[in-house]
Amino acid sequence: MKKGNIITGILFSIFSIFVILMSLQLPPSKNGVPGPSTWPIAISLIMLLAAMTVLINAIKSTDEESLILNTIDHYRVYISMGILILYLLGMYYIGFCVASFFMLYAFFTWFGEYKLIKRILIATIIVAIVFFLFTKILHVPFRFGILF
Amino acid sequence: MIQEALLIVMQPLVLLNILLGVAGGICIGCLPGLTATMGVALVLPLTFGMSAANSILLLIGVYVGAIYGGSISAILLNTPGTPASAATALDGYKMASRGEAGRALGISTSSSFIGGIVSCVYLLLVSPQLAKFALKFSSPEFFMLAVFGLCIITSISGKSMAKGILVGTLGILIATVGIDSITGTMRFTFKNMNLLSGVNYIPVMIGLFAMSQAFISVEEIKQKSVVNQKIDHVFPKREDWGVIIKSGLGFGSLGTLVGCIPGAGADIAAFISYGQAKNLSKTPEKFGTGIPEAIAAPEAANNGVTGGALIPMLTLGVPGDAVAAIMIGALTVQGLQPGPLLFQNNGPIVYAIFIGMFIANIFMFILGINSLRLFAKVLSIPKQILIPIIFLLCFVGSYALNNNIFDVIIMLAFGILGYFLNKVNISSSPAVLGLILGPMAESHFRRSLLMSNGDVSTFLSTGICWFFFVLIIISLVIPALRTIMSNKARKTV
Repeated sequence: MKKGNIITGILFSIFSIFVILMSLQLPPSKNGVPGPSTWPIAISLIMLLAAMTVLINAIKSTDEESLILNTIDHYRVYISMGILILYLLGMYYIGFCVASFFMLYAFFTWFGEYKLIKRILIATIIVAIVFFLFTKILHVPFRFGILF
Repeated sequence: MIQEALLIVMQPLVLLNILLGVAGGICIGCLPGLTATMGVALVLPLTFGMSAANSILLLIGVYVGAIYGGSISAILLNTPGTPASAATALDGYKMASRGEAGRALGISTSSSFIGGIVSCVYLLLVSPQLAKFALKFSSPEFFMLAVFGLCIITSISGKSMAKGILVGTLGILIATVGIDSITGTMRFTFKNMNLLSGVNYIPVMIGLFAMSQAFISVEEIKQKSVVNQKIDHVFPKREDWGVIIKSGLGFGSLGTLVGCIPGAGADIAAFISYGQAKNLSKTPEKFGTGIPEAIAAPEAANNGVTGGALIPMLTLGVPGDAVAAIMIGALTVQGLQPGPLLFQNNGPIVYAIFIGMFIANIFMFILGINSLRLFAKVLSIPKQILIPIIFLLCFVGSYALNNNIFDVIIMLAFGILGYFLNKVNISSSPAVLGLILGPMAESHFRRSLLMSNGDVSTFLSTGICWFFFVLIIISLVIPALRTIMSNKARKTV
């Protein structure tokens, strides 16, 4: 976990410094009454302190446990994330029902060993239930995309 | 007030919602990898169109059911359905392996029920008094309370306090995005229209708790769970009732107390109770071999947390755990602001929540005793089907809040962030609690200084402020001392 903690410490340090720099562009405090920048700067300083603590502890640590993020199981997660980003774009540009059907069908095909007809049927039923529940009962409009 | 509350709860639709919530919660809880928080986050979008009482009681049903449901897979598969049931698995599975799965499940159901009822009694007795007391709070007191909440959350919720502070402060900073409520200045909006009103914390919660958990489940998608245990004689025998009642009352109270502490969830309560039951036992060496005391104690405690977590949430607006944080979101969507004024302005709804909580526990007991075989079948639902459905529900749920695709982007981003935070052993809970407590802390901080013309001594101007100040110091010093002591102990070994 040493490597993971070092990365965490560095990333959060960078983020906190970025927020401090952004906050300095906001109006300052007046007559001891805090302005909009005071709170973010104070919180970012606490974050920076915590990030430095994580970083220093990680450097000093003799922890042998390593951060593993490159097994086949992890790659499966990264590909899933990629598919979901594509689904988000598909939902927006193509349409909710079509994109959701293909997303579900793709995952069922990849994760399971179901027959073609079963995959199509389950994906269709789930999309139909979700679409009906949200549009007809909860009145959530899914108005986007060139299809439906 | 009570009569009005009874009229709200006793409507057939409300009762049906509680029943469905409990049944759904048990199904979610018993599936390994699906936590109570995830269940409540997934059901939340379905409540947007409901009345306030209906909405919150459905979520409470899911919460109560899911915390109990985790014990089913813990006992039958030795895989806790939720982290809250990890302690139950230690002895529950051992008892089930001896061919007494029904007995173990019966003890777990009954002690969960008693623990839950005990927590409801405390909720009913303590909350109105605490709310009355909290009416005396003004801005400095609320600021100190919010800081105390943030301090204790970061120090309790993970192994490393520094990591807890990292995500807690991340949550607070995310909450600063948008138009500043006092000066009207735009902060960190990057000229994006969607960020003007800030980052909505419901998509953030769905991302951190449901989507990230689904990603973690994708790692184990190929694993199959098969129930081989025979479930019979679920209703506890006469000799087990003594242990169940004793543990239910004692550890249910302990669970409620732990639940009141912001950040200390059902998993912590269950392990503390398991340890205490072992310390108090005349036969501690039998713990781990499958004895009734070791199942009853953690189960009573984790269900005791359900009522305890609602006490600070309803009375002070400070969530006791991540589920309570989501419930704050649900109440806010309904136009209700948790805190002392909730009791004054919406008394019937608050009492309806109390009564609904009792009913949820009764439904949990009835369903648990009568339908365990049915719920055990849920364990055979393939993850290969379930996980893609959860993905879809996360997308639809976060979109349904404002009918805005930007919320879906936020949800997905936080889902990915939550997954990687989990990989470096960082709990996501402080981020969400920071998101909720951050604005409360900032607004009261600035208001206090405005009222006192910049005099910082206003934060220690009353006895209540001093009380919280002492608590803040204790909550920061104790974990630090504990770390130093354990480091010293490790060096001497």
